Amino acid sequence: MSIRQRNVRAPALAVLLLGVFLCTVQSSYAASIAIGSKNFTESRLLAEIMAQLIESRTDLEVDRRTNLGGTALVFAALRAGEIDLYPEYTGTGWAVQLGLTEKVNDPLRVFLRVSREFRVRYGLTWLAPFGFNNTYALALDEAVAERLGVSRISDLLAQQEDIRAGLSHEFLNREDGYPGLSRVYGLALAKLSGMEHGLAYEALASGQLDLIDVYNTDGKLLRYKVRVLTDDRRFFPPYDAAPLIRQDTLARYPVLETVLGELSFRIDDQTMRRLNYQVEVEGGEFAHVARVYLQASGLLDKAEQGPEDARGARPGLLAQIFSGKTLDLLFRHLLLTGLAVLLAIVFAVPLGIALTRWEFLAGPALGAAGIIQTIPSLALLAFMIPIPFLGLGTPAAVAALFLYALLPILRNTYTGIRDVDPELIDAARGMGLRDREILTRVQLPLSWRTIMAGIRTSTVISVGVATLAAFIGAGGLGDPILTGLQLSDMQVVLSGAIPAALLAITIDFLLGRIEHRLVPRGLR
Amino acid sequence: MHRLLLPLIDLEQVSKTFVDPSAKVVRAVDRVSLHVEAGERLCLVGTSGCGKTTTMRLINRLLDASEGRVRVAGEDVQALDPIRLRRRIGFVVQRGGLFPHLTVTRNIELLCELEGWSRTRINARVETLLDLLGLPREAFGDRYPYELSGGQQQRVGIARALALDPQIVLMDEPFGALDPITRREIHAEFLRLCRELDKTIILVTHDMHEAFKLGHRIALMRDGRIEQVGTAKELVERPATDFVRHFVRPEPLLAP
Repeated sequence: MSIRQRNVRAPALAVLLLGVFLCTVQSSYAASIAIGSKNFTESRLLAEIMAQLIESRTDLEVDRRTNLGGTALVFAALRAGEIDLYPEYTGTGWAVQLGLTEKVNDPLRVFLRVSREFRVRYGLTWLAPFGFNNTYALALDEAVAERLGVSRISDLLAQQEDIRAGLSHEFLNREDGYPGLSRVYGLALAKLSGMEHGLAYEALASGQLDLIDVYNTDGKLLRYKVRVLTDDRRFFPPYDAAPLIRQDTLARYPVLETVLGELSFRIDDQTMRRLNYQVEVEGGEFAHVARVYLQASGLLDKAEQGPEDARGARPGLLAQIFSGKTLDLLFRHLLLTGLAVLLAIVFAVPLGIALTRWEFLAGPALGAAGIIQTIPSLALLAFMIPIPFLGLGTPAAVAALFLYALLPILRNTYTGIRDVDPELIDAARGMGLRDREILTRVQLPLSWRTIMAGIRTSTVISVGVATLAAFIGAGGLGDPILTGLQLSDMQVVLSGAIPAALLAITIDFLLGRIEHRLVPRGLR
Repeated sequence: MHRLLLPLIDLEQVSKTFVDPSAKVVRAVDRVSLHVEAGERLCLVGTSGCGKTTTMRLINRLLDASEGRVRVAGEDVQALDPIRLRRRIGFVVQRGGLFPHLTVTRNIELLCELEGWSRTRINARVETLLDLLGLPREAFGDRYPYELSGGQQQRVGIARALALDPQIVLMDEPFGALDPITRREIHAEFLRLCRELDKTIILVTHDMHEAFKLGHRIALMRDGRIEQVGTAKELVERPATDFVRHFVRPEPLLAP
């Protein structure tokens, strides 16, 4: 009888979770504009500065969708109308979105061309630039640079067999990154690996790498002993940062052009590097650093106090793990995972059963679920953005996690039911059980253990993959991991990673207990 | 007790054909006619692949005949709902076919529960059946199949087949997997049970000795056809074919 009682609780839980889910979705439809950013400090800071300025000058509510992963993701979000604006770089627009390969070094020409093309092709407007040029640069460990006598990129040619380079994945794949660079300079680094940008400085400082790609305004340049190499062939194009905004947003709120115009040519290279430094090295909160800057430059009244302005630096690891914020993130993480797995169970278990009846569909269905499983998680998240009604945030993350959770549950349901001893099915049929009764009385109870194992696998995978949901702004324990990577702050990374790992272990243990209790003694 | 004038089970020129993997048509049962009276025990005997199990499965419609007609209590089975038909006919398979996730009690009462019996009626029925088979409920009711010996499992299998008190019981090699000593014990018990209950039984076996011991009549099958139907005495004394003579020859020495 205990199985029946539990069957009542599961749908109740599902309804409860769905309710919570709908509440969170609703809140995002208030009259507001959404500002996005890429997942690195400078982009987030600029987004925060714009957000605070708009909040102080207008009545608009600003929805901050920062931390949206790389260029492709945030640009897709802008085009889909999930966000209204974000800070972009002219050089990125030139090479990545427009795919131009001509080499142009004049910042104004680049800006004008990009402006025109974006308006025509995408219905997007570039507002006036902030005033700094965050182009790519190569940075060499100072000691290595001294020893080898390297100060220009051309000097690397003589050392290209020995220098250990760690370049960010984006840089490695962009035409205005390593591919173009190696062609123009004739450079072929022998020891080259791709890595997460946030980890590169640490790897350099710990002596595992010699050469990394950096941004010209990177705050960490003020902290680490590195030498920025001169671009002696003027390869890197200009990367002037400017707000990139949807034309329909601008038409609805024309005041935005005036407000954001106050920031034009106001932030130079040195200022940007210092602001980045304040966040990445000194540990300042984004909101705090942005507010102090706006006040110091006279754009914001000193009397205006931000809601969470009190802190200037981050607390210690344990304090971070046990903070209310971590608890919120944990709850969000559970919500994402729980919803996705529940939906996957509701979908995959009946489908798995159906496949045992229609064997000819089993191959294609399991194959499709298997293919989904092989899509890299981040790519799957990115695919969700252009889909109507999914967009950014919770629905897209749940959809992606749901797709990931399908295969283990589907496969285990299918094989679990198929592997039931055919003699037992024969006995049941001969006794006069209907097909439905054979399913509920014999096949399902006998394959329950296998199905539960699939659900456990799916859940543990989902807890892990859900950390990536932070890339599309769905929150969860991935938030501190991502932030920490950008800040090169292992404490912040761990404040997300440790609870995520503990969560996975705990859930696996609990599901194991449930499985044990649900499996009848006769099968143990 | 109701004895019918018509045979209770009546197979008339019944054939069953299959298409094997190489697309060849195989005639597993070939124009078999068989009449079983109420209260009679008939053993279907033959070597493996002779069609005896297939023949039995045509009666409760686990298989449908390709040609000919199968009647149970005068009704053509093709006109009956297979589920209702099967619930009127007990079914026992080799090793009992017990559901490993259910206790002895739950195995036996499953059909009663599906039939919507009241709890009191179900409990009384389970009690009766376990007593009948010499498995006291206090000691065995809550055990799982893996906690039983082979003989005990088979007894529970029989009890389960009798749950709805069917007039007919089909048994497919019911004692085939038991060791000789257990088998002799359960044979004795089976015969005692038959005397108490007056069921009509069709029992499939490949063991002539078992057939002689348990059946009123024996139908000896070969290649989908019935070679001869008759009592043990008739088969031994007046074998219809050489095959029958050969098949029964060593048995008189062992028969009781």
